[in-house]
Amino acid sequence: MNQATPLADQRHPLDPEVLARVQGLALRASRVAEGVLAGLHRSARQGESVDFAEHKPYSPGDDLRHLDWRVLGRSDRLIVKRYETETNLRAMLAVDFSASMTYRSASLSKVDYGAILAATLASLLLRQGDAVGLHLLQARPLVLPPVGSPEHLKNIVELLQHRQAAGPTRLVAAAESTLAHTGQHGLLVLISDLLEPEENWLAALRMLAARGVEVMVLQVLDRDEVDFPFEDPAIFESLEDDRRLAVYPQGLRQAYRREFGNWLQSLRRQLAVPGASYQLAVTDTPPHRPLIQALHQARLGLRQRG
Amino acid sequence: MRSLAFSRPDLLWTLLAALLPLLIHLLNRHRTRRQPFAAMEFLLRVQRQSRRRLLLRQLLLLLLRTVVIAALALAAAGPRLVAGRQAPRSGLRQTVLVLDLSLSMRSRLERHECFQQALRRARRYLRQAGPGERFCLLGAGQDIEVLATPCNERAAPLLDRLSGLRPGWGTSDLSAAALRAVELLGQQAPAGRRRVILLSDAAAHAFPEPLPADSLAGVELVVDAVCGTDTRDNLAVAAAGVHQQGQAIAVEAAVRLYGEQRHQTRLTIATLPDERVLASGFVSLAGNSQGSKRFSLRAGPAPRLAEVSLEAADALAADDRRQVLLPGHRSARLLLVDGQMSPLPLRDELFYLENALSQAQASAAGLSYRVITPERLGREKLSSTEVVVLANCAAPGPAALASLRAFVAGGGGLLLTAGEHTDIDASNRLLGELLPWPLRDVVPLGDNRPGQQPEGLVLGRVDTSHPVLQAFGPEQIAALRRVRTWRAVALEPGRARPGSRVLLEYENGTPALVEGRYRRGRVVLLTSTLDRDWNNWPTRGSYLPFFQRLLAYLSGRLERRPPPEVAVGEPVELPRDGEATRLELRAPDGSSRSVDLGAGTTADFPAVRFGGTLLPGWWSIRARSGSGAEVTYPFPGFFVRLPPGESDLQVIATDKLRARLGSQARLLTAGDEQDRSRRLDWLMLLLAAAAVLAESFLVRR
Repeated sequence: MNQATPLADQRHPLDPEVLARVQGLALRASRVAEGVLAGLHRSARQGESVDFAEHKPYSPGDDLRHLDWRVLGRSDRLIVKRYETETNLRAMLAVDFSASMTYRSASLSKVDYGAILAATLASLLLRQGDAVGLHLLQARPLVLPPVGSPEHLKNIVELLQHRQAAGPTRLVAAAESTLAHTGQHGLLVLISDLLEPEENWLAALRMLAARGVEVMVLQVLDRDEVDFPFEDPAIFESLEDDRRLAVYPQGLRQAYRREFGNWLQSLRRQLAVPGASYQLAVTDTPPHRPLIQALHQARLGLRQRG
Repeated sequence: MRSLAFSRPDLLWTLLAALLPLLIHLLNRHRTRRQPFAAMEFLLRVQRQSRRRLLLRQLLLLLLRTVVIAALALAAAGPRLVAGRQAPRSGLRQTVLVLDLSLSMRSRLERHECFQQALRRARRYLRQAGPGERFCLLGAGQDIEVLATPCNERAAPLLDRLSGLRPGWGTSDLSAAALRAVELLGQQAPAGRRRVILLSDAAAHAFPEPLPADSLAGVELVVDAVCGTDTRDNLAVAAAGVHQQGQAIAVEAAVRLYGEQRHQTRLTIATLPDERVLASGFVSLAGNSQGSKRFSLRAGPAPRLAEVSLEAADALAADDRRQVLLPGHRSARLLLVDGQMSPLPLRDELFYLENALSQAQASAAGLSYRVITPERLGREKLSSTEVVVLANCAAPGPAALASLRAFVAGGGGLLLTAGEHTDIDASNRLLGELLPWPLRDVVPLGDNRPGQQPEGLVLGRVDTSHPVLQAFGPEQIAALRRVRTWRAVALEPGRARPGSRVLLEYENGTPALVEGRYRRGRVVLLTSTLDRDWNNWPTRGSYLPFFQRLLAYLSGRLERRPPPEVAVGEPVELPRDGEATRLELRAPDGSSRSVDLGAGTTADFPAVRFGGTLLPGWWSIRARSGSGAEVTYPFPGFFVRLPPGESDLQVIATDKLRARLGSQARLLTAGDEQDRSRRLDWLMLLLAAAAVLAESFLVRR
């Protein structure tokens, strides 16, 4: 008999604490995908039909294979999905697998969280018939070229689940591989903490967006990195190199928050260009929320461009 | 010029605690944990930007925390800014420090005992002495004692002499002490300038008499009022009287309030040493008044020590309690041997005596009795009897005689009365030493004409100093003298036994009542009858009280007088009594003293004076005979009481002080002291509070 813990009962089913207890990335991604879809639909019912671009009411002659059975089952309405896949979208999911992504203060590390985001997006995109590729950003990068087959999800999940995050990273490699594998009308989803000393990747992404590639940046951060809540004096050690610093956190907290906040603002500002979108995802929030936000922003970007 | 001084310099060691923040900081540096972190770039950048500010902040925090602890430690030590003394004049100055060692120095001002304050002041005088200043020490307690002379310039030996000093329990005469100090100054060479400092609570009672004019001339006299000059309220159990009526005991406790403010206090009486509360009640007192509380108690079988105490947070705790001895109650058992029993009550020898000892009357006096025939006396066990009365009995048989001798020798009382059955020769032969005076013959008294009611003789001399007759006033004695006796046993002239005492005489000088001693016991001989055969005493009003007291005396009840009470230091008179040759005294602190009662008769030395009464409380007594055996003594102990004047803590006014000691006397009051010193503890507390606020502000930033 499966006994749910009181904690699980009180929390959102997609809360990171709950997700951490779900075995297997595929199952986690599946649940989050359900949440994303539900969120998108609920959003539509709340009067945002103007954004309902991928669905239309059924009219005689439409392909019944594209009928949305889920909507039919819930609302008795005949809705047909209009797939953007028909525009030959090739998406590349670039996931940061550097050592800095291993940090965790809660149940999920940043790399765990990023893997869930990537697997969910892959699931959603493949379900729409898009071709999805995967690029694990590490010192020795690993690239799966985009494939449109639903079975490809298994390969993506396998890779995300079993690859160890380690070493430094080069984010600019994501732009390079996207150009190589998707062409000018592809989609790049960059999932990273973006904590890279060199900032040439930003210019690369802006250039990519200017060339017509849809760029979606999902910045994954831990709550500790945002709030810096430490109290006791400690020696802070870098996860990617041998830098260390003895710090009295109370004295630095205010300045750190200000500096970090400025950086996030700067990122948001620099990625506010046509064809690019930016969404912050903190690992203690249910992952479907930043995904929904990101998908909304991405559509907004397409419309601006078109 | 002002200098920093401390009320509690012994607490300055707590300043070491100010090092704690630094120690914790150093300790934390070694115990810092490691924290992996991804956003190191930002930390490094922020650290670079804020390095100097952070360092300053850390130093400030460390400084503020140190200041908080140091300020609190300093505040606890009572810092004061003392006005600088005048530059010491060059040349020699001899100073006598007089320490008041009286009971009132045990009183407190807030938390501090006056005597400890006096010691602090004394130490300060010694430590702050200028060059050429020499000090002698004098202790003024029950006696005036020179503690250190000749006057010394070195403080160390004088400070050593101060340690271990404690105030006594008695009074002190500071006027006399000032004179003694001047005398001591006169013995110092070279003379130099002269000064006397009296370190005292300056209670007015310590200056009883004005000194002769100019007796302190040329001497600077300072009375340093170590406990200030404000009136300190004090309550005292001023008296506690015990009255017994049979089994009922009444304890009347008087409480005295020295002070203006009205007080209500709870008064409790409890047994000692187990402190079992017997009764308690409240007493309300207006300012400077006395109130009392009466406790009604029931006497136990044996005497008990008890303490009356009051609950008060007053200045002097020592006088808040007073011990009393609660007497025990047990009826004296009398054995009446009826030599002329008769079925006609009026013809019975003991008819009148039994009436006098009837139950209702005897219960109050504590007497109970049993009547037997002379034949039974030989078979009676007298161990449970305290007095035997042989009323108009022929001489007892051998067994009864042996039993009687042993009984009297062991401390029993015997009353022999005459009558028709008295056998003069047999009595003299058999009773022998038991008789206080050998018998001679039965004789008529007065002018007795045949056929007429005999007139007889009235009583003549009455020994009113005897315990039996002490309670009789002049009217009762006059009534006693009206008793007429027309027949009596005459005693052998000039053959009274040593130690025998005539209590009553007929008007012709014939002894009527004689007391004698046999070993530890007492024998009283009534030369007439107990009934109306030879006298008319049974019809007189004096018969009942006289015989009740006489029998109580023979049982030893009359000697149970309240134990003596003396003030601390006063000698107590310990009477020489019976076989006791040595007294073992147990002081309230448990220590023992031995008092030799010495040789000689009681008449030569009726009492021994014991002067070592320096500890207040109950001093118990055990009397020993020459052979070392424990013997009876008139009282089980005595009380040494605190001198009542010491409870009044009112400080002498300056004008009265000058009237007592001379115009040069100066009272150094708390006000003077405050003028010269400014308390800084509040400043330290303010500093600590400010540092705490600043620290919390810095931590939050």
